[in-house]
Amino acid sequence: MTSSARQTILSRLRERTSQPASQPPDFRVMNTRRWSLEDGIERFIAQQASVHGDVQRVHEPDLATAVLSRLHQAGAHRVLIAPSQGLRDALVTRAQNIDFQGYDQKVEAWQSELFHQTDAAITSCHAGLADTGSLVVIPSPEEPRLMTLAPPLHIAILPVSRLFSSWYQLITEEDWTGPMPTNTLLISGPSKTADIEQTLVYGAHGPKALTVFLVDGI
Amino acid sequence: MPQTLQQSHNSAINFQPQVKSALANTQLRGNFDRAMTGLMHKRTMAFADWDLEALRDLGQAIRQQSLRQLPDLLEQLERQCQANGIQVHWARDGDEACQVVTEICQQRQAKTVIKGKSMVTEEMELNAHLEQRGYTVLESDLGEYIVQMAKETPSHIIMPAIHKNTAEIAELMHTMTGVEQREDAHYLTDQARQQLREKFMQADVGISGVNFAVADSGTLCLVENEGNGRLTTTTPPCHIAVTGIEKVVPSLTDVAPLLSLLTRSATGQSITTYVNMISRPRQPDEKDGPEAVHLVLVDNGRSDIYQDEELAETLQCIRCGACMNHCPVYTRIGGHAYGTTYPGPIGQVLMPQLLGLEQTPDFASASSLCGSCGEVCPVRIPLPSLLLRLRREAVDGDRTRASTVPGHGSKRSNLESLIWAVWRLVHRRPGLYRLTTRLASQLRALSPKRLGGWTRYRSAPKLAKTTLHSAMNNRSKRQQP
Amino acid sequence: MSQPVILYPNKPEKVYLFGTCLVDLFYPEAGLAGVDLLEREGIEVIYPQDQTCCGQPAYTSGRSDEARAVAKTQLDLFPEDWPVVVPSGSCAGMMRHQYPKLFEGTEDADRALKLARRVWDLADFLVNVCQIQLTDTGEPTTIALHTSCSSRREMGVADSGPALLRQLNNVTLVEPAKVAECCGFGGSFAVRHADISGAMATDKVAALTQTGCDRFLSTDCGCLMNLAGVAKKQKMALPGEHLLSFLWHRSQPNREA
Ligand code: SF4
Repeated sequence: MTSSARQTILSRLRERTSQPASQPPDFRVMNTRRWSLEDGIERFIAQQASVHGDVQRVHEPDLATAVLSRLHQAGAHRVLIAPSQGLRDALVTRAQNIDFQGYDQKVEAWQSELFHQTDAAITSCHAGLADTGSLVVIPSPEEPRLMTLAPPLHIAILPVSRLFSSWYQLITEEDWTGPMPTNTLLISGPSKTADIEQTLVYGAHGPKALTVFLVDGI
Repeated sequence: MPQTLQQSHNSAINFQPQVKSALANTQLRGNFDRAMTGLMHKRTMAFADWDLEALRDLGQAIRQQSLRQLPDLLEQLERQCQANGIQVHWARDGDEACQVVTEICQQRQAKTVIKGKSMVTEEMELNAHLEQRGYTVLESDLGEYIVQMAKETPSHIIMPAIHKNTAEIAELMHTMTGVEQREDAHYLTDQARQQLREKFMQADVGISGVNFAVADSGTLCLVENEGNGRLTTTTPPCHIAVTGIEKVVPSLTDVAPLLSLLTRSATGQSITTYVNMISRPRQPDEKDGPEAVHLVLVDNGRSDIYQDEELAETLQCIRCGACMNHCPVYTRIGGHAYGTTYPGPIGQVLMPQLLGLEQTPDFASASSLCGSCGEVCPVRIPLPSLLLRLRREAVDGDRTRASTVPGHGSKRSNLESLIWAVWRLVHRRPGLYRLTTRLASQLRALSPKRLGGWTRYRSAPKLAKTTLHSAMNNRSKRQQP
Repeated sequence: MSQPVILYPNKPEKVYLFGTCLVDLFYPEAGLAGVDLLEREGIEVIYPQDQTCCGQPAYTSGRSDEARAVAKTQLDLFPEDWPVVVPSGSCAGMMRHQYPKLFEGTEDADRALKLARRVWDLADFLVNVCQIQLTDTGEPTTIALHTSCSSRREMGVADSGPALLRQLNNVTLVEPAKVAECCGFGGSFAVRHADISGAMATDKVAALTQTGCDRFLSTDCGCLMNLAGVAKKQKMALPGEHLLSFLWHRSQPNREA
């Protein structure tokens, strides 16, 4: 059925012979969204703050302490972190009462635990975007998709060197044409909804809190 | 003509009575007035530091360019998706699309389906179709969840439950799910979160819409705030994405500006919480995500609209809802009064083309042509001009003329034609015009006090003692005796 | 494409006045005030007696043939290259922006386009072409202005009304809530969709009343008739007047207060 549907639709579309006049796209306006590094950092922090994202700027040697204190503040006991995450060892040696574990089995094996019993996840980021205060996250076998979605607290580690002005800048500089990873995400703040009479509520279906560690010196 | 739609709207939409009751509902009018006023303000603020007109030019150019290459882009999208392991299906109309989805559900021996927000599945009435076949279907967007619980349809394409206030939602959730009846959006949202988390884990199939389908990478972009869209497309073992064929763009570079326009126009956000780009099913080394991803490309009247160069601009729409947020008519009557999937200006332009002018006889005329919709549309769809075009189609004198608008000519009446013939006669003969108008102003004492709907709300206007023609005539006589 | 920048002509010796049928029948004093203002600026006003209607009622009802037939007779009335000024926003919009579409592909396309380029909103013409300077000779008063949707969005001349009123020292200009929202007139819309139109007009009258103004002004006779009609029916003390009439009355030097 759908092969004939395909034919019908495509040939119907191709029946149109005249093409309306239109202007070629002029992308210059997208390049006006550029910031210097310091302005970009300021904007990134302000934009995250406007959507309840919390950004802490730290130097690399202080990162583990800062992350731990955030975890303690949240009362987290069970925290997901990729085994290859550089920070992991420093956290494990210093933390008391926190169980760090990898997302190391297929979700089917532990879905309920993942959804109900993990308190936080620490993930890396591909990039940060100053314009919208977004994280660019590319899930991987070590940092799967639900890591940034199921636990109530998401902690993201973003090197200052990975801050771009805008998504457009990132896409054009890295040439995001052609094949893409299984999943790519832009994340801006914790999940939210305003579906009940326009009242903004954070923690809709995903994380209730997002903390970004913006790290100098990685 | 799409089957499902025809079945459900086999008689004309009862617009006028629906309007009357909507206008009489002060609660509803208050809800819409507050919400739309806030949304308009937020949109203005969100574009404050942009060259908005240049960005709208770009948005328009991208959508027009994409549509120009539509069949090629669809084939490229299909190739890329298939190369990525996404199965692609085509459906000529809503019914066929429902069947495609049902067959996938059958193959997977699914029982429960969870859905992210998708207007095209509303258009094809997918929920009813699946429920009739014994599937449990649950909407997971909070607004859709509320609307589904109330057995209603969305009243806005972005904010489905905007017609309800907190008190109404608290009562509904209390009755339907047994939670405390607390007028507290935080409490209610949290309850819904808990109820739905279980459902996400149990669902066999997740169904979502698509905001942009990217041809050169085979990527499906979904834009949302709640995370329900991500859960819908990640947790169940099978994900079915359903989209209208017009949503395809050449590459991600094109998505960036459209995204900037979409979220700011819709809710005044510089970006949504999540922009979710899905390009393939779960790979062998990956630990979550659906093992199967399907893409259903739905035509449902779009390829017909595509044939008409002017009306094809309708297909540029990125479904941001700004035209309804800024529409003085929508703001007063709300989305349900329209009785169709898409309300507001875009609905008034799109629905007559999908359902036919006979089914939607009041849509094209229900506008003061104030131009607000056209002024805000991020992709510059000339909505007022398209409404005018549909008005012309409605009274088209030649019903045999080829037209992409079903039911063209259906509103042409002999009485109206006669009135316009007289109007034309008088206004083409200056002497006759001057005579008639002079007589009218001399006999102004006799002018009617009641003029149909006009005088329901207004006093009848009074003709002046003398016409401007006479006054100017006297004036020039005085000046040149 | 974005709205092009408006390029105004130099101040001419003469202009044509296209009065519009609503002014002709209901607000002739507004047309006359426009003539008086222009003449005071040293411009001779030509009023072709054969003018009738711009064709808008038929055009917005989808009756293009009838609209074109009537519009065509107007094309003949302005033979010289003088500007054509129009005292009502939506008719100006019809002639300036819709005539080229209405006549597209017909033998009159060229003529229609040439005429369209010469059409101006009269109030805007006073500001941007005449660069009029008004002296207020009236008592202090508070005024709200309703700019029509055509003036605002189709013609893009929403600034001209306030620019004129700000020249009057004794006039306090107040802005109603939702100033840019439509008043609900919309020609046949007010009859076909009387309830929606009535709701819009009622809200607009309430917003105007809430400003506490002594009267409201508009440059569009449709809006004026609509809003004044609602105010009168509701027995509200909200007199309405055409902007041009108001400007003329307030700015006559030998006017007795
Ligand atoms: S028509 Fe324009 S404004 Fe309306 S929903 Fe579509 S894109 Fe948005």
